Formats: sequence, C-alpha cells, structure tokens
Amino acid sequence: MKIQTIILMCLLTAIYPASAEDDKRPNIVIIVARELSRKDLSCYGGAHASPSIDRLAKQGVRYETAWGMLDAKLSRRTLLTGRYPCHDAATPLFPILLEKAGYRVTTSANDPAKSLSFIEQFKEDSPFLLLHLDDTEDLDVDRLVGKLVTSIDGKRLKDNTVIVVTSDHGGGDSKADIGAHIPFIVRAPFLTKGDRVSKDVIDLSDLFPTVLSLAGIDVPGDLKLDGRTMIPSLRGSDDPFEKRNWIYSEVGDFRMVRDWHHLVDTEGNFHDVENDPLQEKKVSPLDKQAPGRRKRLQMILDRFSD
Amino acid sequence: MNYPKFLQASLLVISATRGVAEIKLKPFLQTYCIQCHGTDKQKGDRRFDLLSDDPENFDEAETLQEILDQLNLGEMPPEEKKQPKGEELKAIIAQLTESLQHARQAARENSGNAVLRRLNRSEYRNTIRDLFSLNMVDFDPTVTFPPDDAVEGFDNVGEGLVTSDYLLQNYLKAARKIADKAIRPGPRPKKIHLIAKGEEIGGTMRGFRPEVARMTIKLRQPLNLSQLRKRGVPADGEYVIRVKALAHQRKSRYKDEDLRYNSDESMRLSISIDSRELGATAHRTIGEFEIPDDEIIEIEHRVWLDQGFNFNLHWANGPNGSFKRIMRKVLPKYTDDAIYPLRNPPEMYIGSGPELHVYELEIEGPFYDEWPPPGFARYFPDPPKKPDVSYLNASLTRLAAGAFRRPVDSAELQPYLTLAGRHFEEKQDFWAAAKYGMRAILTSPNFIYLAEAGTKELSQHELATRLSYFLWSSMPDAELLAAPLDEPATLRKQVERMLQDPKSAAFVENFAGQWLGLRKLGEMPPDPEKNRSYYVDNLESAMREETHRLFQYILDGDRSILEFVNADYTFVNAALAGHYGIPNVGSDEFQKISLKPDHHRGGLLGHGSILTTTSNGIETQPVIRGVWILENLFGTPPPPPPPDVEPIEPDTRGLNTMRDLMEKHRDNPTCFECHRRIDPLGLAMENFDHVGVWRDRYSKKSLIDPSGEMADGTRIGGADGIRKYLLGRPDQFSRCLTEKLFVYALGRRLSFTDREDTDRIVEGMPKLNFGLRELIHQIVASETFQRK
Amino acid sequence: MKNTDRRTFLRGIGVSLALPMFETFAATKKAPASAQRFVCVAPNYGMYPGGFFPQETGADYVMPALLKSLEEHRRELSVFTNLDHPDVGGGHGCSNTLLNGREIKDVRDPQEMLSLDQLLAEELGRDTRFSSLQLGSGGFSWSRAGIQRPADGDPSRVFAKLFLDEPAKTKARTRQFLDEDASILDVVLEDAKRLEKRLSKSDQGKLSEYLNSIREVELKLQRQEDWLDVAKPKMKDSVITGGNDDELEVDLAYPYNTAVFYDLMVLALQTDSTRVITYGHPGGNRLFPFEGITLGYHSLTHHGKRPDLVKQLAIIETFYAQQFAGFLAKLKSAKDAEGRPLLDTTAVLFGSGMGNASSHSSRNLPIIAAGGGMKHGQHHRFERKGRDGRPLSDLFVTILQQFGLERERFSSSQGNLNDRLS
Repeated sequence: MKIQTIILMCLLTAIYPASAEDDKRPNIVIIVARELSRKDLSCYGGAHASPSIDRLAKQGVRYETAWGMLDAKLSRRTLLTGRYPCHDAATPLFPILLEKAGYRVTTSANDPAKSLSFIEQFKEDSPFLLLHLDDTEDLDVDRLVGKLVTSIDGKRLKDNTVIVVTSDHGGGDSKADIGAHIPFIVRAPFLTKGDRVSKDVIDLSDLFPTVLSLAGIDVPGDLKLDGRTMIPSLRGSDDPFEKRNWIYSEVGDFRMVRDWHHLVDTEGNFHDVENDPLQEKKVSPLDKQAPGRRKRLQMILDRFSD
Repeated sequence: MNYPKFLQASLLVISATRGVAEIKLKPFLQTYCIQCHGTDKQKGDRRFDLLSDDPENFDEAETLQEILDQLNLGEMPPEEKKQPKGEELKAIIAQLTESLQHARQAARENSGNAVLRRLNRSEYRNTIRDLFSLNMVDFDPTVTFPPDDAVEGFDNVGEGLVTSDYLLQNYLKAARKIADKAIRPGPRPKKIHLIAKGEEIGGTMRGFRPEVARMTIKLRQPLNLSQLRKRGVPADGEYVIRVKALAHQRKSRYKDEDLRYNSDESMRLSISIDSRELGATAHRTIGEFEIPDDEIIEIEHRVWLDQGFNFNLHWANGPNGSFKRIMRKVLPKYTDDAIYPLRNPPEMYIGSGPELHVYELEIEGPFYDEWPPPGFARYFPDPPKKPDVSYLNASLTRLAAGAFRRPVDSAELQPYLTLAGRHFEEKQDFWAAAKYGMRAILTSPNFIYLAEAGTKELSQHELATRLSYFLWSSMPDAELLAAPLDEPATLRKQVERMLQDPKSAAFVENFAGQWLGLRKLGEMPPDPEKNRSYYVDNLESAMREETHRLFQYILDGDRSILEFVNADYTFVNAALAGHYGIPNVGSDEFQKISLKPDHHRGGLLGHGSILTTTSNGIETQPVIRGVWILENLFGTPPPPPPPDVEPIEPDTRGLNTMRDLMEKHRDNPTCFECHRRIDPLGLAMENFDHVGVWRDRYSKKSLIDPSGEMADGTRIGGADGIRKYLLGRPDQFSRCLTEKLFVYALGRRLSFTDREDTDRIVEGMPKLNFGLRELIHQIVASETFQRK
Repeated sequence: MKNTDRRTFLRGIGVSLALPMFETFAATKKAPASAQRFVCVAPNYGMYPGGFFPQETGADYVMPALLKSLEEHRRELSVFTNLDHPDVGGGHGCSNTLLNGREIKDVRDPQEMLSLDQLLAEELGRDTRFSSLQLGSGGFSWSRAGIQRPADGDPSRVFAKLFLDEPAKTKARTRQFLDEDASILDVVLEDAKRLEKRLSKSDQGKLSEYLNSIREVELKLQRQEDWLDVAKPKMKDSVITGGNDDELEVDLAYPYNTAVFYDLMVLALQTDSTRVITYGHPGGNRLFPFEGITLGYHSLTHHGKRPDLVKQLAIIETFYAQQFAGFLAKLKSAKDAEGRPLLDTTAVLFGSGMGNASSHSSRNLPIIAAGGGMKHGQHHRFERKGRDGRPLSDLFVTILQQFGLERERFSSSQGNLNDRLS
C-alpha cells in the first residue's frame, strides 16, 4: 500500500513539476548583447577589459566555438524560435512557452533599469525568466552584467539561477567563420563546475531547447527545432551523441556549416578553420582526413538548400 | 655417409657367426618372411631377401635386431600368415639373440657411437644465461637462429643439428649482443622516475577531457611515456611500472558485432614492452590486468627491462580492427550526421563507445640487488682503474674455461688472447678489446659444440657436461664440474641436486614437451567461434600445465611411470576441470584432484593437451592419435606411408562416423598392413572430441563405438581398454620411455649396441617400482651414458 | 700472418668466388639467354585440384574457377596437368620439395638438395646486391649445403634491406664489425682445426659443417663489404606506407601484405637488386580474415570434399590467384633496361610441392609457368603412368636452358619440355 502511494507521488511530481511550493525549477537570465564581438572580451583574448563577464566565465563555462547567424536580426530570430531563418517557419517564442508553464517572464529591450528592478523585486513564489536584449556600447554590457550578477547573488539566488551571456552578432560583414562567431558564457552552478572552457560546438538555435528543458517543458510534438539542448554539454558530458556535431549560420542565400575543424559554405569554400581561422589557405591535398570531412559537412549543408 | 669404425668390426662378427646363423636364418626368412619382405613386396619398407649376402652393410645388424624384436613381440608373422612352430621360433630367437650380443660386444670394444653435437637454440640461450648470470626474459640473442630440426622426436640430436653459414653468421651477431650485455663496467646506473598524467600520456588523442588518456580499440592504440619513446629506459635492470586506469562504458549504444567486441567480458589492460631498435621481434606482453567498471584501479608491476626498451599499455580485449574503421563504417550506422564510408571526425565517436581510460602512468628504476652484476664480476673481478693486458688475459682465460666447460690450456687460448691483445694495443680501449675477445670465444667450436675427445671413456668434465645438458639443458655449474662423478654415490647425489634445482624445469619442458608432442599444442588451434572457452579460459596453457605437472609430480616423488598410463589423480584449475566436466573445482590455481573412473581422465590418454594436439582443430584424427599412442606409449611407431602409395583422399560427404571413414583403410591391403595396428587405437579414443571433451555420441542419432581389436587379437573397448592393455605389458611402456630418455640424454639415435643397457634397465624396473627418478639414475649410471 | 694472407687472397678474387667450385656448369653457356630473372611463388598447401586444372588442353581451354583472374594473362602463361616429383612422397614435407624434387632423408650428398632458384642464383646473382631473395614464408629454397634458406616475412624489413641506405655512422660500424668478424673467423678456424685432431672420425665429419660454414661466411662478409659503399637505389616508401593516398590502406599483416610483397618484388627486379626471388604463402592454421571464412587454413585443406569447406578454401586460393594476376600485370607494365616488359625476360613459376592438400598428396602438382621468353598460351596435360606423371624437373630443365645454361638434367628429370615451350 505504502509503496504504491510513494510511486504514485513520484509519478505525479514528475508530471506536474509546476506546483507552487516545491517548485525547484531554475531561474533563467539571458543577456544578449548587440554586436558584441569576442574581440571585445578579455576572457576570449580580446583587447578590452571585461571584468564582470570574465568573472562569470570563471564561475561557469565559456564556449570556444559558438555561432550566431551572420546578421543580428537573424540571430535574435533564431534565438527566440529555435529555428534557422531559412525555414521561414511560424514558431512559438520560448518566453511565451515559459510563461504558460508558470514562469514569471520579463523581456527587456535595452532597458537596464527594468531588468535590474525586476531582479530586485523578485519574490520566490515561482521561477522567473529574464531576457535582456542589450543595445548599449560594449563596456556598458559588462557593467550591466556585473550589476545583475551582484543582485542575483545578493538575493541568494545564485545556486538556482542560470545566467547566459551571448551576443547576436560579432564579426562585421564577413561571410565566414569569424563573421558567425559570438561569445557564449553560461553560469549554472547546479549543472557545471566553474572555470571550464568547452570545445563543444553550439549555435544560437540551441538556446531554445535548452531553456525548455531547464524549465521542464516538453517540446511540443509538432514543433521542429534545429538546435539541441545544451544541458549535457553544460554538465561536461563526454558523449557526443548528446551534443551537436555541426553548427550552422546564414545570411541571405548564403549558408555555411562547420564542425570542430572544418567549414563548408554554399560558395564552395572549404577550410580548416581550426588551423586557419581567417580562411586564407586551401586545405592541403596531403590532408588525409579532409576529403571525408568535407563530404560530411557538404551532406549537412545540402539539407539547407531549397 | 661415414659410419663409425665400430660398425665395421661389428659386421665382421656377424659374418663370423654367419655360418651358424645362416643355416637357420635364411630358410626361416624364406619360409615366413620373404613373401611380404622380398623381391616382390617390401611391406613396411622392409626387405630381407638380400640379408647376409652383403655383410658390409650396417643396416644388417639393425635389421636383424628388428626381426628379433618382432618375433619376441609376436607381432610377426601376422596372424593370417603361416606361423613358425614353438620350437622353431625359440631356436631362431636364441640364435639371433646370441649373434647380436656378439656383435654388440665387439662394437663396444671399439669407439662409441656418440655424435658431435652443437648446442640447440634453447641450450644456447640457457648456457648464455648461466655463463653470465643474465636475465634472459627480454634478451634472446637466438631469435634469428634458424629452428632446429628434430630427429627421433627430439631437437637435441646431433644428427639433426646442422651448422650452416646462416647459423654461423648468427653466432657472430649473437656474440656481439651478448658481449654488450655481459660486460658492464662502471658505476651503478642512475635511477629514473617519470610520471605522466591524462593528456600528457603519449599516444592518446588530445583535445578532449585533459585528465584522461583513452584507448578505444584493441591493441592498436598503445599508450606510453613520451619521454621514453625515443631511447627507452637508460639501463638494463628491474623497473616498477604503475598505472591508474578505469573501464568506461563497457556496455554502450554500439552493438558488439559492429564494434567486433565482447562487452560481456571485463575490460583487460595489457602491458607490453618493445624496443625501437629491435623492432617487432622484441615485442612481448608482460602482464594483463582486469579493469573494474567505472572505478579507478591502481596497478603496480615489476619487470626487468633491457636498455632501450619501452613499455606500452594496450586494451587487450577492445573492439577489433582500426579506429578508422569505426569512424568510417560503424558510426554511420548510428547517426545520420556521419557519412559512409569516409573519415568522420573522431569527436563524433570519442566518449560514445566503450573506452579504457588511463589517468596516470609512471615508471621508476632501475633497481639492482647487487652491483657490479655477478656475471660480470665473475670474469672481471675488481677491475683496476687502468686495466692492462695481463688483466685482460686473465679475464678471458677465466671466461674461456667457463664457456668451454673445462680447463683450457694456454696454447689453445693464445689466438684468442692475441686477437684481443692486439686490439687493445691498437685502440687503447680496454673494454672494447675485452668484448672483442669475448665474441671470439663465443664463436669458438669449443663453445658451440659439446665436443668430446676421440677416446671411448668420458672425461670428468665431459660427463658433467652430458649430465647438465641432459637435466638442465645448460652448462654444468662449478660444483658439478668439480665433483668426482666416477664415484657412484657422488654421481647419485649430483643427479638429485640437479633435479631439485629450478633449472631442471628445462628437462620437463624439453623432454616431456617433445616426448609427448606438447610443443605442437597450438599449431592447429580450434575454431575460435565454436570453442570460445578454449580461448577465453586460456585452456591451451592450462592443458599444457596439467601434463607438465603430472610429469613433475611423478618425477619429484619417484612415482611409478605407469601412472602416465593410468592414475587416479590429475592436476587442474577451475577452467580445465569445467572443460573436463569435473565439478567442484573452484579455484583458478592448479591443484591435484582425485579422479573417479567415470571422469575418464586417468593418465596421459585423458589429458586435454594430448587429445587436442592429435586433432586438427575441428575434428579428431584417429590415425594421428593411433600413431601417437604407438609411438609414444607403445614404443612401436609404424613406418610412414610408403612413398609409392597414394594416400586415400578422404571423402567425408555423407559419412556419419569416423569409423566409416577409417574402414576405407581396409579396402587397400597396403594401407591395412599398418592401419590394422593404428586405427583400433585411434578409434578407441573417439569418446574424446577435438579438444578432449568427453562425448558418448557424434550426434543424436549416432552413438560412438570405441571398441576394437588389437593386431594380436586383444579386444579393447575405448581408452580404458588401451590403459588396461598397456598396464598388462608394463615392460613395453618401460622400454618405450627408457628409449626416449636415452635418445634425449645422449643426443643421438639409439643403435643396437645400446640394447643391452636398455634391456637391463627395463628388466630391473619392476624391482624399482617403476620409479621415474630411479629410471633417470639408472640411465645416468649406465655404461651407455658414461661412455661414447 | 698466415691467416691474413689467406684472407687477402680471398679478397683479391672477390665476389666471383661466391660461385661453387663443385660443379662447372657455369662455364658452359649457350647462345644468348632469353630469360634473365627468375621468380617462384608457392602456396604451401597447393591449390584445390577441382578448381585449378582446366578440362580442355591446348590454347582454347576454359579458365578454371580458381584461375579466373588470370584470364587476361592467358597468352603469357602455361598451365600444366600431371607434373610431379617422382622421388617425393606425400605428407607435409612435400611442400618444401617444389624446387628440388628431393627430400633430405633420401639424399646421400646434401648438394643434391640444391633447389632450382639457388642453382640459378649462383649464375645470375654474381653482380647484384643480393644473389637471391627469399620472401614471405620459406622452406622450399635449399642451398648447396642442404640447408633451407630462411625467408623474410616482414615487408618493412625487406624494403629497408633493398632501398634504405644506412647512415654513414652505422656504415662505419658495420664495416668495423665485418672486419672484426673476419678476424674472429680466422681465430676460430685455427681453433677448429686443433679441435678436429682430438675428435673421432665421425665427429670430424660433423665438424666439417662448421669448417665449411666459416668459408662461406668469409665470402659473405666480403660480399657485404664490397656492397657497403655502393648506394642503394632510391625508392619512395609509399609501397609500404601507402603514401598520401587517403583511401589506400596498406596493411602489413599477412595476408593483406601479399600485394605489398608483390610490389616489392617488382621494384627489386626493376632496380636489379636481385634477379632471383622466391615468395611463399605460409601454411599453418591461421584464420583468414575474409568474408565467409570460419575455419583455419590447414583445417580447410583437409576438407574431405565437403562442399562448405571447399568453398571456403576457394576463397583463399582465389585470393592467391588474384594477387598473382596482379603481379603479372605489373611485370607486364614495368620495363627492363632495354624498355621491354619485365615479364618477357622474367621466368615466373607459380606452384606448390603439394598436389591435393586433402590427402596431402605430392602427385599432380598445380603448376603455372609464365614469361621468361617461353612459348605460352596453352594447357598441357601429360600422361600419368601408374603413380607417376611427367617429372616437374623436365620443366625446370627447360627453364634452365632459357637462361642459357647448358643443362640436360636436373634432379629427377628425364628430359625437357622444350617441344612444348620453346
């Protein structure tokens, strides 16, 4: 009798995690800086000092290879819908899904004050999502991040709050690897040990499923997504089957994919971006690995041709 | 061919007694033998009609001996032929016995029949080991020596030990290597202590979790210390290797058949050693360890490493084939993102399949018990700071006495000393000169050959040498060389001492291994698919161990040699006991267990080793088994099939039993001649399958019928029948083993002149309770052993 | 010193002394030889007769199942039925009698064991770095001393031996060793002569093996020294490494290394490193890693006509034939110094001393001859009288004559096959 009851209870909690009292779902803070390049951040070896973001990276995971789209608008769209722009698909935005699931949601478009006060006034009845789209000068973002983190930590929310700092575009007009590269830093103490640099490849489409799984929401059955949840990657999983093995970017009719080493685009370029990040050299015909890598990436790229 | 002098004399004796012999022998042969062994037919390749017409022929005496043996055994003439009457038979036997005895006596008056023989490969290796007290585990100067041919089943018979230009060149090379190894002047080599962690470990793929080094496939991704990769360890000596490892994801999403891997087995890590300089030949596995799942285990292993050797870790039972194959052919089956059959990125696989993880790798050493090494100090004691020619000469003289197994005189050594001395004078490098001299000594015929002087008496040292190559397969030690072996009590004491010495393991290994054909075990390995436990449980070495243990046990306890034929005990570990269907043996350690008759295992005939060597890996070979029994237990090997008879091409389509197949031998009288002796024995063993498992039937429908009839009409029913038959004729088995031991002890074929000693020993065996140790004492004490 | 003088003498006449003094056939030469090189390839357990011997004789025979891959070379090769060595009995030993037709137990004088390739090496091997090469698995190449010549089964080592020059430092060391070894031989020879006097007559006979070996090694050391400073032909190691071709995987383990060995053989002949090569496919019970094979090689040869086993055996033997066909193709496209296809001047023999492996018989040996300026294109079937077919040595006599050697007999020959092949 007793055992059955316990099992029943377990099942219930698994299905209905959103009951108010014992809601352990994490708070989620996503800060998307406008046109913030990795060159602007010292933790990525950039020229400018970014002490707050650096500190956040120290406490979390910093991704070496993260891609956005080749245009800021497209990036935001991908981020919000979890789909690459080329699909041109109508998709729900994740803040709305979270709200339905009982999250307190605030989106702030370039309004630091709003974001800060949201945190300050937060009461622990249900978890929150703060999506801050920043449009300030570079170093202001760092300052804002500093303030938000101080506030979160001051309210003892650190252990149950995921903070993501990224950008919508960071590479000028270049239709190349460097044009798609964005900074991507996550602090989530319950998922990941600090001070880690990940070589896993991710792109902005991964944020949607990640947020959904953090919030315990099943992806709606009819919804197709391009990305994958990053939770295994954040946990430091070794298993590549739980992670991305290629990432994608586009602008206009131009598309490109890459993996850990190579890049292929719709203009027929093929480069070893690991050793030749500026895509200045041809891949050596002596490279025995290259032909196979190229064909694989081409196969994936072809999935995005019309 | 040159026949020894004695033969000419012996043949004279035969012609002298011919007057008497001929009267009876010729007509006797004419009546009973010539029909099958004459002009028209020469069954068994024997022909007697020319006998005695040409007494200058050596084969004569041997042939007469053979005729006598056959008559004594009652094997010939065969049942269905005309038989001599009792009186007639007795007379001819007496006649032949007497004339052969005369011939032997005369032969012994002259020189003996020893054949000059060289060291065979294992004797050479053991001799070097003992001469310089070297650790030979990783140092085998004989690897490139050609294999030694066996004569009469043994590879220490002089006749088969040919010396070729190729071998001599190898002697020169081996001597170079040995000199470098044995001459080790200078201070104790410095210790090294190297540690590598995670990605620092050589051979691992980088760019993943830095705290681990990974192996993803079987054997082909060795991990090692990159610091040692170029030059290996700095000096010969004992080293300690430590490894921290973990078995990761033994069961994974991949199917075993795709990875060509067995996920049911615990992961095993093996440590092997090799040397860049020596290449593939030096590669050797030194240890294998089971690694627990998801738990870091620490392994420590002590091992002797030669200078220049490096060690490698391998995953002994990981996925078979190359990593590339997995990237190309396996991965695409599991993800649409991989493309077939091209090189997909390893990042797509690493971490997803089974992996053997290594966290830390460490080596420390060398450690020495004493310095300078004893094998060096023996010949070069307390080398002076500036050694001179007289020290060189004294040292090389000491060495030559050791290498030649006797005192040397200065005249014979002079060329060697001059060679080294001149080198020293010219180059002023003492140790180079010493090595040069050593190389010449190790190429000398006095070292390579067990040379005995042309007299019939053996000298003290010659006897010591015979003895030590008999029981140790190596050179005599100082005590043996100094012992007065002409005193029977001393001789006995020395034999006892030698048998107790661990070096006598060579006797078990070389004698028993060759007598019983154990060395051939593994040449026809069973099909791995259908005999999994044979490989998983390492049954091959367990089987060999069982037989070695039986031999050692009978030898140590001076037990009856008839226990080779039948015993109520044997030696097994859990795996072998399981293989035999004997319950309740729980330990991996070898142990003596009691046998019940329904275990069917008593004596050699029940040993897996013998039953497996006499099969071809898929099925039993009754002919081979029959020949094996005749040759090694009965001592009456059948002649090989005559060259002019085409072997029957086996046609096993639609045949149900081995017996049906064997019946074909009856169709051809030439075959049947010998096969009537061979086949019944082989078929009687049919209850043991190709790896020695007991069976009652071939298939549901076909029962095994092990019954049969020996050539003399005795009915035997299965292996027990053979045991009973032999136990009823203990002399026959005694003779067989005595002759085998003699061949091995003397390093030559037996001739009819050795017959008297053999007969005497065989006759005396019942009084000695058939003890094996006593048998060895008898052999050593015999005139045959002590004279040439 | 007396010994030094003797050596100086040897040195003076140099390599030419490497020729035997036993027989003087070498002195008599015929008109220009049409063959200059000899290669023999031997599978240890022969070939399954049912798939090897053609039904029809003459030029229009249908290529048998196992030999299908040789179709493209049919005009450059001859297949024979009913050739064998009359003096040889069955059993495993017969594989080693392929090139001499003799078993050691039957000969009185070890010289009778001399095999065809070694006889040819004495003639053709004087001016090359290696008088002959034994590759793969050995056993059927016999020296004049009645010793089996050991074979090298490691392709990397063979490549190094043929094409890699040692660094100057190693060369100097080698030279020093050669010199020292020569002096050591002087010393031990003196010692052996002293020992000889102490021995009985029969033992002296045995010791003569050692004395003869000393003489032969002296000549070998001399030959090595003569060649030490001659640079080896330069060769890219792509033959053993696969070079830069991504899809080309070179596997140096048997049986995959068969193709590598064939490549090495072509290179060795082309660079004139040697003119005589034997290459053996080993016996034993290895499990071939081919699709469809479940049993060891030796076990399969004892197939007892069971179709499932014969089928598996055919997979292995088809592989042998395919590889051999590839070799012939390479010999056709490779050119000699005069620009002719190498095959035209290379006599190639494919065969085994074992006939039907199922009974380990030595009758009706599987034999193919190719190239060497002989007249090819036919299947020749000879008569079998009782046990014996036509002596295989008759073919050997013809081959010897192709090399311009005036030989009427070899081993158990009764004639020659000139009427068929030239």
